[in-house]
Amino acid sequence: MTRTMTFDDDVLKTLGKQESIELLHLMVLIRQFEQTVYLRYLQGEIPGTLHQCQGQEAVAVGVCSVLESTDWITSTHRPHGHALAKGMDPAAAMAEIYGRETGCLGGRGGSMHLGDPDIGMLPSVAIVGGGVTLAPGLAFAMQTQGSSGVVACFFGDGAVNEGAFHEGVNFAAVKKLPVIFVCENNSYGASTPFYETTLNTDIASRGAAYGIPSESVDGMNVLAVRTAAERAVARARDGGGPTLLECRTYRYVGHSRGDARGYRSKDEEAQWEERDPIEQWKSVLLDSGLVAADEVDETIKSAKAVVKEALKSAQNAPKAAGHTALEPTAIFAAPGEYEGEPAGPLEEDPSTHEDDRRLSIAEALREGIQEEMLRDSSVVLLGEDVGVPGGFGGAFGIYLGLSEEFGRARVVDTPISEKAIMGVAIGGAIAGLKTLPDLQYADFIFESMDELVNEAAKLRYMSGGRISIPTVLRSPVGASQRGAQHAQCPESFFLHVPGLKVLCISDPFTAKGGIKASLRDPDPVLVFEHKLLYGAAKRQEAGSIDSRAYVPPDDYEIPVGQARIRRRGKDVTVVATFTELYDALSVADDLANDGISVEVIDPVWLAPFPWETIFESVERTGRLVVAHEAHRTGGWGAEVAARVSERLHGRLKAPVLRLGSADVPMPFAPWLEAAVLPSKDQLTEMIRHSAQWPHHIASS
Amino acid sequence: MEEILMPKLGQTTDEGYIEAWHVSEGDEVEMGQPLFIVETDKAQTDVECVADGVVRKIVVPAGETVPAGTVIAYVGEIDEEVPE
Repeated sequence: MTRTMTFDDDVLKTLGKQESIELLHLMVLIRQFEQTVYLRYLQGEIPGTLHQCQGQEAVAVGVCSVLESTDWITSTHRPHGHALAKGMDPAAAMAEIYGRETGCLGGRGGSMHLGDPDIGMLPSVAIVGGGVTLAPGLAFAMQTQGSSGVVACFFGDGAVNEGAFHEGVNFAAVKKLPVIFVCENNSYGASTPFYETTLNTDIASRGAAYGIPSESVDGMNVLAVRTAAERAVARARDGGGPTLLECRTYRYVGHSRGDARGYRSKDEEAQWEERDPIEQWKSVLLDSGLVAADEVDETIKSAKAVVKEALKSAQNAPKAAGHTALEPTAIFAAPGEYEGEPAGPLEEDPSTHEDDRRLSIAEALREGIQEEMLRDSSVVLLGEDVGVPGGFGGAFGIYLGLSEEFGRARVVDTPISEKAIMGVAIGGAIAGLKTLPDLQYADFIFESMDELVNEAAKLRYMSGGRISIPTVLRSPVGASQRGAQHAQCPESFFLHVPGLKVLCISDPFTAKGGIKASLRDPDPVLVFEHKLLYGAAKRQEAGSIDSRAYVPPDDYEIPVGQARIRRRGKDVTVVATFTELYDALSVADDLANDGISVEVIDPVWLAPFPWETIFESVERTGRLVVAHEAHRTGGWGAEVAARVSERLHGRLKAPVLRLGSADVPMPFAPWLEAAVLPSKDQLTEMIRHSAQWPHHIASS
Repeated sequence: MEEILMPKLGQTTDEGYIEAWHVSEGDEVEMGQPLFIVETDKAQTDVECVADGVVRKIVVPAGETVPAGTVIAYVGEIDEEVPE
């Protein structure tokens, strides 16, 4: 063994005997746990794969030794050491890896996703760099709530080349969030050496780029890691903001099971093993006289005994039962489809003062958000251009006045970092806030798809239903003469993602009640609104439709999953959203003159989708046309057509027809745009076609 | 008592040939200690012991090929009963 570890007696004395033994105990526990898992895996007892951390124990143990149980950590696909160091019961960790009922996440997570909210560990994120945008969110909640908690965010050297790293670290830096970014630099991303992918291999030097303190630490030296972490944690608790720690370490084993490590030399491995963190620490403890040899032996023996017990308990635990994978509350804190009646046509203003309460969607949204922010101090709005004095008040002016009323700590201006905005919204929601992130345009959601799809939609499920994520992402959709990247209607993407609720707002009544319902819902809700329907005072778009309608001054919510039948009819059912909904209402007026009675349904919620309302209507009419601005192929209308065909095949009098934008990107010029968008004429034709099937002859 | 199984060593291999034993019945062994060499169509590998104990019984001697999952040996306490 080569001892590169230097220590001075004073530091050891301050640390004390008990704590010194505890560090040894934890490192041995992790090593023994990993070795046991490795051998049992080879014996076929463990399903799936493994990513192990033999050699890296000092980093997890050194950092976690200065954290409180109320502090959070985020981890990676290699989480066993972090979990045990943060205080996870080894039996619960082992059982999770075995896929057993008693596992920390009931078998839904497995080796790559160990976590336990009760010990302050998020289900670990196996997307490289994924935790780097979530950790600032957890820290943001702590900062907002005035606690002195901190978050340690573990990630590998590979993660520093992810965009998430840049966005997350910059966000934490500029908001002075209490995060310790801990890079476990083990020199390899899977089999690829770090230097082959990165010109500046000095990871600690990146701290300067973000204006935060950073240091490079010997990750084989548990005392050095602990001391550096202690400084960083003290700074974070003190309001000094984040620190970047680069811990240079080595994993003795392959990246995952089946990795024969042909990409590195036995010499290199031997050199690192010479500096083994456990052997070094043992020798320091013995040489310093702080701990006697028999105490060291006893510590090692007891750690091994704990792992033996953990193993036995996991092996004997029942396998997680199949039905637990499908429990509705595992996915949503508030699951279930709406079972009541659909809403009817919008109410007229009952007041005698004409136009008194006729609001635009923009005004109704602002009123709903303002009332919720007043009612619930945990509601926090964050995004680009939302609260700057004299600024935009959001891209469409929805938030004008809110930062003056609630202050800039609750109307938070962010960097143009969609991944970080969404990651912070998710992390903040997990840690007790109700977050309202804003990305300006729905087209920009794609920048944050990882956070939305891999984290917001899955973390509750992965946590065994033990965390919930009350976050509401509002996004404007629709073509409005801005070309292909400020025009999309991406709502259909999210129907394919279990774990997200999707609301489409097409009228002011739904705007106020819908945003309130979303902000009170315990689950992630994506809210889509159409630019041409806003009626924002400051931004009247060309081609806008006047959607003003009566909005009650009362506190009301629209039920999650409730559709609205905007117009009753008996011949053809039309299901439509946004501008197509208004086209459908207008076409229904026209066709009434020709004796065709059209029922117009606004589904309002695409997830959970109001299936019963649609089925009930089509059972009566026998005909269905679906119209949306989203592209026709793979649009949500396709799902509606499929389900209605499955359920009502024998009742249909005509094929289900779908109208959507042509399958081309949206062009800029209004006359080109019009050629791509669904038109009122096309909708008229389609409804006639359905009503007269099979005898319809297209009118000229 | 621990059953030592023939591991599944590759994506394409479902059996292994025991080339040689490193230990004999009655030997004390430690977790991680190599027990025998197994050869597949791809490679030669040591199979390591899953626990501390004593080699109570070698079920499959060197020179035989068996499917993955076959019990090769039993490791346990000195006084534990060995299954038939």
